[in-house]
Amino acid sequence: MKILLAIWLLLGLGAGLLPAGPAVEEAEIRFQIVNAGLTVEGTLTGLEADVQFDPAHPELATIRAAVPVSSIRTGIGFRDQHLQKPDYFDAEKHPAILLQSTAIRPTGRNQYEGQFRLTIKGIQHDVTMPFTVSATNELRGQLRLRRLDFNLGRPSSILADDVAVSIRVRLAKGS
Amino acid sequence: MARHHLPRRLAWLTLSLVMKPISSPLLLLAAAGLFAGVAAYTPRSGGDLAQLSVPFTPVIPRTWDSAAMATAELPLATAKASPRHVPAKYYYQLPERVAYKNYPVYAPGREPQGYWEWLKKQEPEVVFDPAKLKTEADWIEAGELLFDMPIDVDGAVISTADVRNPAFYTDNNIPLTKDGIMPYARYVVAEKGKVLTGNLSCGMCHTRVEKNGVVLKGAQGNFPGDAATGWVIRHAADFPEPAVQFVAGALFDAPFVPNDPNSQLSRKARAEIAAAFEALPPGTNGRQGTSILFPPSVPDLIGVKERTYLDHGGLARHRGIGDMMRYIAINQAMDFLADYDGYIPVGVKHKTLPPPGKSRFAGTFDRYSEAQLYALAKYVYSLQPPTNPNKTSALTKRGNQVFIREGCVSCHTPPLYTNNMLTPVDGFVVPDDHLRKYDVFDISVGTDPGYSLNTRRGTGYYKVPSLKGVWYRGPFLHDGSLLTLNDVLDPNRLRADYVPTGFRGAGVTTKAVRGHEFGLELTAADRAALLAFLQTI
Repeated sequence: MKILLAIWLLLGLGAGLLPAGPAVEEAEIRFQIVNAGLTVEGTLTGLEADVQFDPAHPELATIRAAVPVSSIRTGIGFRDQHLQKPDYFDAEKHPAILLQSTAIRPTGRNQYEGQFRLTIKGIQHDVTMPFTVSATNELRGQLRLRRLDFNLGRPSSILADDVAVSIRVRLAKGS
Repeated sequence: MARHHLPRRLAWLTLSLVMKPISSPLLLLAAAGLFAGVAAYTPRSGGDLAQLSVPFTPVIPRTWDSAAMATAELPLATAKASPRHVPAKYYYQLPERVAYKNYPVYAPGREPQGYWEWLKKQEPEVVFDPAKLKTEADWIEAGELLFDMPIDVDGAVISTADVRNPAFYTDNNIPLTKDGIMPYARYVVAEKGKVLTGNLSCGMCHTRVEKNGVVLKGAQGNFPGDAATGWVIRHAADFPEPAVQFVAGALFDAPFVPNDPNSQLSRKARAEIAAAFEALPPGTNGRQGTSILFPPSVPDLIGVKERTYLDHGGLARHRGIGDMMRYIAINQAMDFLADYDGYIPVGVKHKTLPPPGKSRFAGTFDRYSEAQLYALAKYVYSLQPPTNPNKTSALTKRGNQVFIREGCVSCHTPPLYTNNMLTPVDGFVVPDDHLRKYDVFDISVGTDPGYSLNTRRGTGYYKVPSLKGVWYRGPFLHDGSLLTLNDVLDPNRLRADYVPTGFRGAGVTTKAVRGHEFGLELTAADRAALLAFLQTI
């Protein structure tokens, strides 16, 4: 199955650099981070992905995805603007967040685990993301990352390091 | 408050240090009431006091240490004009200040009977002797004496004639303590029989008198010093226009700024300069190197030990007590002698340094001793806030949630309610190396950039201020343009027909107060909750 996948992300960024693939009917990338004890939620939009995925041969699958940093929204415009700045995502130099699969293996019925190379702000880290693919061509995955691994902001007594990310992508039938 | 030397400067002579005991019981009572100056509300636990009462040997940093001085300040927004301070050799050739005992100034009609005559009978007394300081508490107590010690007795801001003139008080709405003391100036006896009015103590700016007459030492001061300066300019017979222009220029000119508005002001007529001074409300301060066109609000010193940058623009780094000593030395008032791209504010023809000790401008012909600076810093570090009468409630808890939800915590991060970072102003491009060297929160909040771009202290940044103690202080924003927190959250302030409740500038009737536009769209309930919460921190 050929899928257009997408990514996700953090605390409040955003900008759509890349056109979404026509096979993506719907994409939802959410993230959560705890700030001063309160969970802040944010979204990213405008993802583009190139997915080669055959459920019969997941080991051959490749997923490449990108989402523009400029699309980040957290509900506070000022914060969204700040997240574009060099002390966070440095959108001018690194306009997109990139995800590239390195290995995918099945873990159960419609369940998989992917090894990905995640690039944020020009910094690469390998991450593991379990995901599902439904009969309706909907891919759902979740992962956690640490913002400081990607030099996003500074250590803080109130802003957590951990960021929870969820991705949901529904592809057009037949794609 | 303006800090300057007026031509009517009086001679300050060296004197005998012999002290005679007070002989009159009546005068003893009068003196005892306010010799100690003005009692500030500074709660401290018994445990703290015990800790401070053990033998203490201070390790006093060298203030004018060349290596430390080289990195003590951020570059200015106009980097080439960053101040080059006097060499260490020059600094240490300046004579040390002598801390003579000083006495309260009473408003006319409130002075105890016979007080003035009693002052004239007093022997000069030196009140700071580091050899006698045995405990940390001793150093702090000595620091408080120095905090109140004027560094000028030549009428740099106000004179004896001013402080004994009832019109000075009524015309300038000078706050008084419950006892009728005007706590911003002090009488100094440096020679028996001569009672001088002392200006330019730390306390002149950093003393707040609440409406009920209670004094908060170290808090955002509310001496209407700039209004008083305007009043003096209009009333003093010995302050001719060229002298007014010279003083205004020495205080504020920043000739490295293109079309420097400060230099333009200092060339205007005396009345216009007076009007510019008079436009500053209490709680703001046209300190040297700032501007009365873009004035800073007076900082609250309570809690300053936890700040990593000093000045509204974060000009000075604060890496330890040595930096605090440097900051005090520079501000009291060695920066008048700094070289700003070839401009020395009180240099000879603004070009060269006068010989050490020969400058005639207040604060530049002498210096604090190292021990004095250390004691001052210890005192400033020891300042405690008054007991907050505003208690936590369901409303304030809701306000705290609003505070978090609206993202206030990102900058005003508890427990300090500041993230101790610097925000660039509109019009300033952050150099790449600043992101590595300094603590830059790299987004402008859109407040007026004038102070940060057009003054001798302007770095291109504003420091994120702490919100601690907002319940006892104001006006707010870096320029004191908004009198209350309610005004800060008032969306009407963005309108062109808004009448700023704080500073707005001479001749300005209406003006939008832009920037820091947070919380302006809150519901009435959320705003009330947020305001209630802010009053508790």
